[in-house]
Amino acid sequence: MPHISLRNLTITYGDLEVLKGVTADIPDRQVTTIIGPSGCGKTTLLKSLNRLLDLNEDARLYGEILMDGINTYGQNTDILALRKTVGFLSQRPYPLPMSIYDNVAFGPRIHKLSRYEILNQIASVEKHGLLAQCSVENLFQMDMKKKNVEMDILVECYLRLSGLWDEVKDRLHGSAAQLSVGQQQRLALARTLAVGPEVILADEPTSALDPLSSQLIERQIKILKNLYTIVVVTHILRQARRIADHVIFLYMGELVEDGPADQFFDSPKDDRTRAYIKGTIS
Amino acid sequence: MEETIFKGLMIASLTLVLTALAGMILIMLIKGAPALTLSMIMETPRGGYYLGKEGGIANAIVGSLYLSFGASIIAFLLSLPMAFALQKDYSGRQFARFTRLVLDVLWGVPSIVYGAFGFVVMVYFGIRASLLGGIIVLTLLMLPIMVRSMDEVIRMIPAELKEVSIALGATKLETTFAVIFRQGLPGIVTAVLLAFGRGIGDAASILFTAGYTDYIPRSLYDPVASLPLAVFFQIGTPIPEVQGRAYASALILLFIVLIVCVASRLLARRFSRKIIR
Ligand SMILES: Nc1ncnc2c1ncn2[C@@H]1O[C@H](COP(=O)(O)OP(=O)(O)O)[C@@H](O)[C@H]1O
Ligand SMILES: [Mg+2]
Repeated sequence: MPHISLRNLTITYGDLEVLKGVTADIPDRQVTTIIGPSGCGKTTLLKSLNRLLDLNEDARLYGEILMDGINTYGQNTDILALRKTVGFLSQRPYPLPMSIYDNVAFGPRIHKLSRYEILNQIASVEKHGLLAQCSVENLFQMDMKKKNVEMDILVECYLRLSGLWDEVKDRLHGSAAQLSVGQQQRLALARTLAVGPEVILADEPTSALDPLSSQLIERQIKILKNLYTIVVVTHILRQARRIADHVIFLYMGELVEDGPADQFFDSPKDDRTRAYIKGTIS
Repeated sequence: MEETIFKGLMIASLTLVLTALAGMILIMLIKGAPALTLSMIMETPRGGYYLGKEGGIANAIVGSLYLSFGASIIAFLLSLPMAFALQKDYSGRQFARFTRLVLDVLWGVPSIVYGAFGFVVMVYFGIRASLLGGIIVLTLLMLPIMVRSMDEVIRMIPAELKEVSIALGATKLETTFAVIFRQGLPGIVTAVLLAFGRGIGDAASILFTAGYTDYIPRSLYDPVASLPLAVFFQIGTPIPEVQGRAYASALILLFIVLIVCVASRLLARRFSRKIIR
């Protein structure tokens, strides 16, 4: 598992300094939530972690983001490998213009995973006992001579892991665009997991969803934290309280306070944190 | 109040458009249907055809199909990479803006100018009017339409969709092929249709470059007949039978366009089932 550290991270868009010297650690296999009012730089921070920020020509980054001690903005970074390791869920789900099945299989196909690699990847997930009724022994009893059977297994596993399998198992080859937004977000989760990441970034993953779908996503996040390091951006305090193990509070591009969730919520040190938790600033 | 006015205007414009279309089809039917016999479609002109004797315009039908499909295919193969290349993933802002401007100007250039240009070039190289010449000039005529229409379609695709693919570790090129192309496919089909329509109906650009003949071309270097020119030549005669045939030819042209239009609509609908909105 990569240990993520931000070291004096400053990000600017042109003249606008969006993040101002943020230094923080993101603990492994926990849910870290980044909270703060909108416009304080949460999305920007998240996108810098898998270098999705590179797509924005105006963005400039100073400081370091260390993964296992290695600067991801260094000279020799393999950006594609980094993005494979650090998955990203956007605020609004965008299904790829293809079937549900192909959405999940997209990443593994792009990366041309071999049958061996795919089965290995599933086995490592299964080891944690998260795949009810999808145990590897059962899976290996399938007809391995059948074409693409490993991809079928992979799609099923990750759809189960994202809590969507039961709803879509009969229409895997139907259009992903026809799912509800809540289902699309869980499909996006399955699609991200299928690449085999170690870290999952989620940018306000429930802000476009109804309460019930939001609840499903939160449940899935809590299950997945045994396996992945998860960073969730949210501006909903109650959501942060429900899911967070660790909290980073940003305000106007500055890191105001960070720490374990109970400490953060029960005994905040900074006045601004207190005010934000009470709701007097937003 | 405002709403009623706009609703009225909408209905008025719709009625106008529909009347024009229905009127066109009706007139062509009334004037052309009597002349529209099987031999019209199946046979090439025989001696005295243009005086009202036997034969048909299979030469022009086949010629038009060769010309327009040939040009559409070549234009498509050139346009698609060009349209992608104009996107900001691959081109600088200034370059793209300038290229778009040039293409828009080319789109507006009258087709007779394309014809004249093609003619000059062919004379220079000593090529005579032929299927090849016609296809090349039609391709030039279609290119700006296809490239710009595809370009607009691709530009409208949300950046977030691209981000999804990039975030999964795909390269720009993989994203372009596997995601952007698919998402744009219905619009791309429409772009091809638009250019095809302009190409098959155009007479001026192929007048000097493709020529006209009573035979179906056997090679790319033979001259070739076309429906728009068939209409043009026949409608100018004083003989009523031949004039009727002109309208029948127009009717056939209309029919081909209609079939291609419906077919591509169905195709686009099939493709659009999986795209996101
Ligand atoms: N592409 C961009 N170009 C310029 N400024 C941007 C861009 N994206 C975001 N910003 C600005 O950066 C600031 C932080 O944005 P963002 O990271 O999206 O905040 P948050 O996710 O916390 O709402 C905002 O003031 C926003 O206007
Ligand atoms: Mg945001």
